[in-house]
Amino acid sequence: MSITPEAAAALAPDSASLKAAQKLATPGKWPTLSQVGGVLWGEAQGSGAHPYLVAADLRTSELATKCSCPSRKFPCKHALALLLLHASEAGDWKALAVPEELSKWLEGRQARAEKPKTEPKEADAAQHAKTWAKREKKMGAGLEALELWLTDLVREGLLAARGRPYSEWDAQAARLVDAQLPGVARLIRQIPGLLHEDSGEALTAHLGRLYLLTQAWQGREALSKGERADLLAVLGVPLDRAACQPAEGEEWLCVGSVMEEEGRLSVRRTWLLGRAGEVALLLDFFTKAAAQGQEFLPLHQLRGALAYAPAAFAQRAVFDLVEQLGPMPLPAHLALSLADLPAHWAAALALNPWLERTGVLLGPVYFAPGQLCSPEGSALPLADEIRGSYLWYLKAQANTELAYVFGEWNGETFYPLSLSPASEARP
Amino acid sequence: MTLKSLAAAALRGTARSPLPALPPSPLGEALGRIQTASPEATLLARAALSGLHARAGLVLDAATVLPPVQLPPPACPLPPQLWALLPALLGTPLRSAVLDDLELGRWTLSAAQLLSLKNSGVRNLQELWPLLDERGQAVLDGHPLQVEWQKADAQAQWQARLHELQAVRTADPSAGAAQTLELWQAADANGRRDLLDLLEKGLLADDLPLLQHAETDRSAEVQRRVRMLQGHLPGPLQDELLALVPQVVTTKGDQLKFRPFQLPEALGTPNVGAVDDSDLHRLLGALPFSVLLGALDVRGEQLVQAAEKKSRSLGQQLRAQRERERPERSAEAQAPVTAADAAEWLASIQQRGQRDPATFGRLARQLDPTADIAVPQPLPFVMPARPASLSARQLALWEERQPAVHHERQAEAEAAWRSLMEVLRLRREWARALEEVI
Repeated sequence: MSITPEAAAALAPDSASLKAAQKLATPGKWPTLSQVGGVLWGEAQGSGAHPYLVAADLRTSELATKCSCPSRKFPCKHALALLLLHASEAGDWKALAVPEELSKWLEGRQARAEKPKTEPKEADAAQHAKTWAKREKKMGAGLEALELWLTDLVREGLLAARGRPYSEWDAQAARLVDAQLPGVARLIRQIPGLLHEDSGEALTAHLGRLYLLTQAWQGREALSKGERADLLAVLGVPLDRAACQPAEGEEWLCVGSVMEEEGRLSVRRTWLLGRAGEVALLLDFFTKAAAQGQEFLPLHQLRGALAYAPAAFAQRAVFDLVEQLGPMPLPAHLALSLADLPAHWAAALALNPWLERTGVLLGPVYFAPGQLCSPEGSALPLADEIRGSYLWYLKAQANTELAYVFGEWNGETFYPLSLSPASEARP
Repeated sequence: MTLKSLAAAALRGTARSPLPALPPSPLGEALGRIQTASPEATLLARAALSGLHARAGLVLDAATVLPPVQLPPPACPLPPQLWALLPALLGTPLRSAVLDDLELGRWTLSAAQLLSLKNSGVRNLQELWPLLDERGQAVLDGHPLQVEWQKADAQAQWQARLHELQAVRTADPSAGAAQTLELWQAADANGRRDLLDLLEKGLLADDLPLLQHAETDRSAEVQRRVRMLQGHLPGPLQDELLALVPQVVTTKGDQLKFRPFQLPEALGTPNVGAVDDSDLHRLLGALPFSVLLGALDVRGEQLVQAAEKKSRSLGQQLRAQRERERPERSAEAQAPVTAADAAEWLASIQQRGQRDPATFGRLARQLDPTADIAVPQPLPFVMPARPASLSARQLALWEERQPAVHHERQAEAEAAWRSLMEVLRLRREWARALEEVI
């Protein structure tokens, strides 16, 4: 597997790491640089007496790096710098024997890659049913208590709620976690951020949404399979990957990804676009210290088997990568105009009222301060984070042309993830 | 309206406030069909439906700006072979030569390329602004880089103007002095300081009106400098100073002494609180350095050292005066640079541990890029001569540190060699890429 400078830069856990790596990516700071097959290794001169031993294993599509420095970031700045040097073909690379400290790590990786995959044990249906029944009971009790809590809240009045300490909301969230409702707990933790809005509309709607969950649970037997799956997803029941029926290997276009912090976890949302315009969302969860796994480059094609999770509005999916293919621009013929977005969004919400966001390809459009605009004169508000250097970057990519943009729409703001100018988009 | 009225009720609480009336609309009808056991449940259910209705009822805004005018694609974009090397080269002493090549080839950069260079940490990007293609300049209109470039461009134009002025002052002193006065009157504070630098390098007799005009400038620094400059012109003031200086600076054996004196009124009153202003600063600064030496019959270095002992700023002032009167050196040494120079540079790093950036730059630009430069072999450690001024404890610590210092210097020399090899490699690659595209 080879790596481009852009792919190496995309691996950086944050911009500080990337900047530090760029400074380190000069041959003068590497007494040793070696490439043997798909294994890169080198010695990076740090501030200590001994250089750090750094390696990257590019033999498979699952890139892995290792470094003797004490940094907890992954990959660290030394590993990133090694990859940047290799990608830019800088430095004098020799074919030197791998040091002993690295050979054990490489052998372990090789062994794991060659180990035959064990088939998952067949679920004991009876045990599964028993476990599920137990969980359902807890969830039911938790949602019943939530309903009571919500009615008490509106009886007393939301003005009075503004005086409650944050610990009360945290305690309520903790009770819901105990009731195996982590998704609902997350919604409860959003309440303090809405409490002090003057009109109270956002908070009232949010509480209404929570109430709808309690009612939907009570009426869950009347829901369709997809609607019930959407309900379980928002309640926080983990996706049963076995329930996803994988399709044959097909080509998908990665159209962007976003990393966000959710408590102690980092969540990466990766969006894929199919040949017929289908949108798929891959979710990956990491603890902050853990490796981030495979990240796909935006506007690069992938071949793999994708399976949508059961849902009334198909969006969440799981993906088994077979092969990374080359770069590819956005397809203009699959884009919605801005005028089409309201109907598209309303139709999605009608199928899944708890939908937080959807991925959508729009065009042709252009950027204005705080807006994504169409040539017909309509506009969408851009997410608050789209300003400064990222907005300049997007305008530079469009380069005075109208463009096709894929991004996330959450009902209020649009967050662009990838862009192709009209002259480069696929017709 | 519905969500607003529901929120108003929710804020007060259903214990104190009835549910709001339903609007006469399809939404109102839908809300009216909700049946629950309590006012709280009704409010929450209606809030759920109203909230969903509001989320689904997206109304697009009006665009605040018109679509951009699409400009034609660039006629001569930078070829990919050159673009691949550019970020690395811009961080080396080859930067100026590379930019000259781009200008010569009339190649342009896009806005995306310029921002990519910015993200890579390339410095002084405003220098590349003129290389932007038409689209790039339109896209980045208002970008902070544009502001930086405009400032840098204004400064470059001002420097060019000064350079022209210097040429006129040399060719036609009378016209040059008149233009200098004209420029002085239009210049801001920074501009006036630059003009004073010009006058200090080559004062003309015809500059006297400007000096007299500037005696009452708002800036105390300008006032000080123009008063001192008046003494540089032959005349009564210079005569007075030439008579005074030998009484102030006296010789005792090899030592120079500074005696108290009364500063001539024409030189103004020094700023008591300023480190670099005093009677003596003004007196010695009010004569050309060579004239001062002639009046005192002393060597330049002797006078400078005596002044430094008196006051560091006085010594600095005299050094600057001496430097101004020296003929300008040529921009770069003309002797060819060889592999032996590189070896000498590396050896000096092994001895002293510090790279000389000027030498590195010269080697990077002028050394034959195919030259074979051996990696410096680490020198054996030899304990250097012990400093006399250390206590026994300090000496022990110093001796303990020396092997590590020696090791760092050897490592620094090797790192310098790798940097030099890398720059030469980039030079070869750039030359090869230029051949491909030209």
